[in-house]
Amino acid sequence: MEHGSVTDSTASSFSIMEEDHTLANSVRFVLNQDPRVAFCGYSIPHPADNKVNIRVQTTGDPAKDVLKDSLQDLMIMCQHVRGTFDNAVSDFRQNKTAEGMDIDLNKKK
Amino acid sequence: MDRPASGVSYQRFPRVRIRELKDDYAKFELRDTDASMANALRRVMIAEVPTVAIDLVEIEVNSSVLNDEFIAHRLGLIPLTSAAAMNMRFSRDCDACDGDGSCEYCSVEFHLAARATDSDQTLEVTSNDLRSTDPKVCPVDQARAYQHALGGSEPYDTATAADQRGILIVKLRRGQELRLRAIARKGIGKDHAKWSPAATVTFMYEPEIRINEELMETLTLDEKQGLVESSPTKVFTIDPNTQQVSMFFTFFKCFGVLFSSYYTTM
Repeated sequence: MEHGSVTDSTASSFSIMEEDHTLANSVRFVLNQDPRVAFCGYSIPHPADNKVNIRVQTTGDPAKDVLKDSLQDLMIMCQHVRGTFDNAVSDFRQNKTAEGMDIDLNKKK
Repeated sequence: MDRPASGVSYQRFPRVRIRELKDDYAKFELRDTDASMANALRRVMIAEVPTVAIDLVEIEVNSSVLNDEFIAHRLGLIPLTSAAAMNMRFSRDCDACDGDGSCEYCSVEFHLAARATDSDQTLEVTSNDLRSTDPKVCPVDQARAYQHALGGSEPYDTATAADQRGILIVKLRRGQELRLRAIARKGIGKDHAKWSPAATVTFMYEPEIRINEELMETLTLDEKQGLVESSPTKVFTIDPNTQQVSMFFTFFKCFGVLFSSYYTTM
């Protein structure tokens, strides 16, 4: 749900249902990386309601598009983490069977 | 995905490196990202990874000292092997059984029948007495004991003789009986903590410490020793021969480290 103004599409608040800090904080981080964003933040109106408000103010582009792009970026980032993690696990397992995991920067306790 | 020509998002792609990996414990590093990503990962691991846990209990006979709902609550908290959870459907989404959770696509049935014989010894009803209709889904300690018996994996550090007996559900005296049928369903930690697969998930930053060698040279040996000893945890060490202060640990130059302990296998 978007609360914006008909005249000014560069600034609007979005109300997302069934979400919490897990999504909102990550989206806020990705929005901050985007140079088109002038201001962004999120709030949870009441902890008992499963709702989150995200405010986006941009430097000229419609806020809706900027948010959509940021969500896409977040999705790609998460997919990347998933792939990287799978690779890291299979590498670790291979190295482990060969010899003990030999980390060069190992903590010497 | 189309990008406007004017603005390109400075998107960073995180990197992952595993430090330790066991069946119930994993420690890995997450670099080139922000605390919000690490926190989101942590929150999802605790609350939104689906698992299988006992959800519906039909008690036929219960003459133990614990009442029915008490035992049902305890049964729900028993961790079950959930590798099959991703292929299962949520009961409410299941179209094969009207959502009441009794078909093979969305539920697993367990049986438990225990009766204390006429000996004077107390009978302990444990998770080992839970019989599953699907061998892939069973109490985690049953699966561990089976693996260990096969000689497949090394025993867990905390496995003792006591743990081999299984998770205690209820104790029965002579003449008391417990007979029930339980249905396990898929769920997520947000609904009830019994469905949370993680025991603890934590993350922390690791600091990057560089010693200013030029300034270090201006200190006398006593001052250097004072510096090394002043740290409550041993951060620095002093080489007796060269009188050089260096790191006791070699800290990773990393942005964050994520520790996690899972109860079910990854």
